[in-house]
Amino acid sequence: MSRSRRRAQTSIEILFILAIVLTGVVVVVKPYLTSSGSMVTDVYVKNAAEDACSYLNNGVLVNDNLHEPLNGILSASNYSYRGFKFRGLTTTQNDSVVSVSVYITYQGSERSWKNSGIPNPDTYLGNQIKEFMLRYISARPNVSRDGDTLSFGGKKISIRVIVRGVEG
Amino acid sequence: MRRGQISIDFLFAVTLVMLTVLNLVYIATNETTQAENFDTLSKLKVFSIDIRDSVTKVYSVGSGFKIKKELPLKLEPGEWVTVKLDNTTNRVVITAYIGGKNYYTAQKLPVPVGENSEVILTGNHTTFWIKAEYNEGGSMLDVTLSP
Repeated sequence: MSRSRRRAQTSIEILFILAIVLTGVVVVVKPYLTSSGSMVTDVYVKNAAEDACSYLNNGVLVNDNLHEPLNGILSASNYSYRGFKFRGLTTTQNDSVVSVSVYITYQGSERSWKNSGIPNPDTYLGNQIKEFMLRYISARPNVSRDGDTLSFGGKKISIRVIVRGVEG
Repeated sequence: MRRGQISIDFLFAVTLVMLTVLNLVYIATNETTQAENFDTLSKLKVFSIDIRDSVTKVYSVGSGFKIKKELPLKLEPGEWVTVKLDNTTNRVVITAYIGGKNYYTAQKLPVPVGENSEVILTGNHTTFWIKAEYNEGGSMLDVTLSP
């Protein structure tokens, strides 16, 4: 066997090995990306909700586009601590739409907002926090926003924010 | 394989490591911006509470008493913080322009504010006085801010 022939043989062996390695990579990476994608969604939503809560609790208003939805709540709460807390989230998944429900509580009852002139405080809070979260998450890479839904990695995400007051 | 030649699996490994590192750098930058923003927010909040407590203290000690206060932030040229005692809402109001953003916060005062007073703090002027003076005309104690 000539020298050049042997060299060609080695490279074909390497090609086989590479083919096996690459198939392995494809098999492993695809489910990893799927699960990592839904985990990233959860992390984004959780971060957004927690940031909203700490911003509201801090009571210092920032005049920018991102925080603008929350600023109405801040002036209604008189820039004071209202004990907003992120309680958790549940995710339900259809084929293409992921629905995320976020639960947030604050100290006191719905009546404590009466002086601020907001008709339905809990609904209002929910809507404003949701708008903030949509703006917050759509600033992340690979996330695009269309009205009330977000698209991320080929999936649509719809967010629902439930805000309740708790006594004590 | 000849010595000095980079093997393809090494290249793969390098690519994967680079991807991870890039992602980490990206996340870190993102979080830093967020954290810096929150840092300013918290400092302003603490400052507003400090002013509220100082005003209360000056009021309770009485006429002639004054405290020197210093802003706990470093301001770049062009940035400013204003502190205001508002007698219509009876609040300490702090407005600030830091890092291209406007900030606003307010604290309710437990003591009455006789008259409006305001100080503007900038990079080379970060201290001011809170003082109490007996107001003969209104027969009450006025707490005011002065540079």
